[in-house]
Amino acid sequence: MSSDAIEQPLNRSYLTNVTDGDAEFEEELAQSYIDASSEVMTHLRSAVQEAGASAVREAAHALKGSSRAIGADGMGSAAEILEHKGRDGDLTNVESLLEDAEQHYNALIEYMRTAWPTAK
Amino acid sequence: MNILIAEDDDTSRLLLGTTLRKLGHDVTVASDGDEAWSIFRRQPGHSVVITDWMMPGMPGIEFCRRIRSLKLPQYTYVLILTALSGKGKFLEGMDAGADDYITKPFDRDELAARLRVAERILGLKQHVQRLEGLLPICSYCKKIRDPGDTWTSVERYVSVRTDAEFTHSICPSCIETEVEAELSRMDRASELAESLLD
Repeated sequence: MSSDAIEQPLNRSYLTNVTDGDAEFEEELAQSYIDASSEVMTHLRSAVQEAGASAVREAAHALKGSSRAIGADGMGSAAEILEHKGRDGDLTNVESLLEDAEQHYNALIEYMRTAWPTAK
Repeated sequence: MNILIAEDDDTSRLLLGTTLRKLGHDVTVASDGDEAWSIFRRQPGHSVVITDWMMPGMPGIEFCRRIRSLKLPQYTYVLILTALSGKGKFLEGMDAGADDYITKPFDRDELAARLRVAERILGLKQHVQRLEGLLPICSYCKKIRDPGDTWTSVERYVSVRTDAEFTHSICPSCIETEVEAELSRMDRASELAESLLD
């Protein structure tokens, strides 16, 4: 799947609703997500490389929660699949699933940096 | 209300904490169950606890059990925040002492509505505690001293605080000791008066 195929990486109407239309709060959340998810993705990549099922589950669970909290449902779903693989101790095909998650992640971050140019 | 939240995800914690403050609540934030438990032990006056289910260290369900184990005089309303679905998880949470749960990602309006329910239930709990508490009552006339230091009749005290209404009657013991005794005295007085007139 290419990043271009991920057309709506973030549900803006959900984010607007959950922040009650507070633009400053939206940007604060975006920055928080960008900061925290970067670290979690690093943990997830390491976990997949080291074939640690428990670590995959933990990192993917964190990524799922934070992504869905801001309305990034595609990213959340990709993370959930990895979480289940880790929970079940079945890491077959997990590299391919990580690639899928990375594409969602790249599309999401690109969208967020466009929507909130001051976010780093 | 005074709310303690326990949420290990940074973004979710920011979202929940800020949302609750915007709804007008005072919020204390913990980043995991162990920190939340430590805060709660030091400051047990939180009206509401909102805790994530899965967290590193102490999970939310264990945090909930520990809150209930303290048996505090002031009730704490516990909501569990969870992405986990299924009847089993719901029942496990309720058995641990949770009052309600809310699924993640939460809906702002639903969260506000559930907190209004919490506020009503906490109010009812306080009301019952006031009625169940020790009431200073006069050993002679049975008037009760209300929180304003005024002595008031039992009927008035109860009717002001509840929907109860009183219908006056006489118990069997008082029929014997008061009513029949008075009737006997009246009969004797009447006999005496008749004997004097004869």
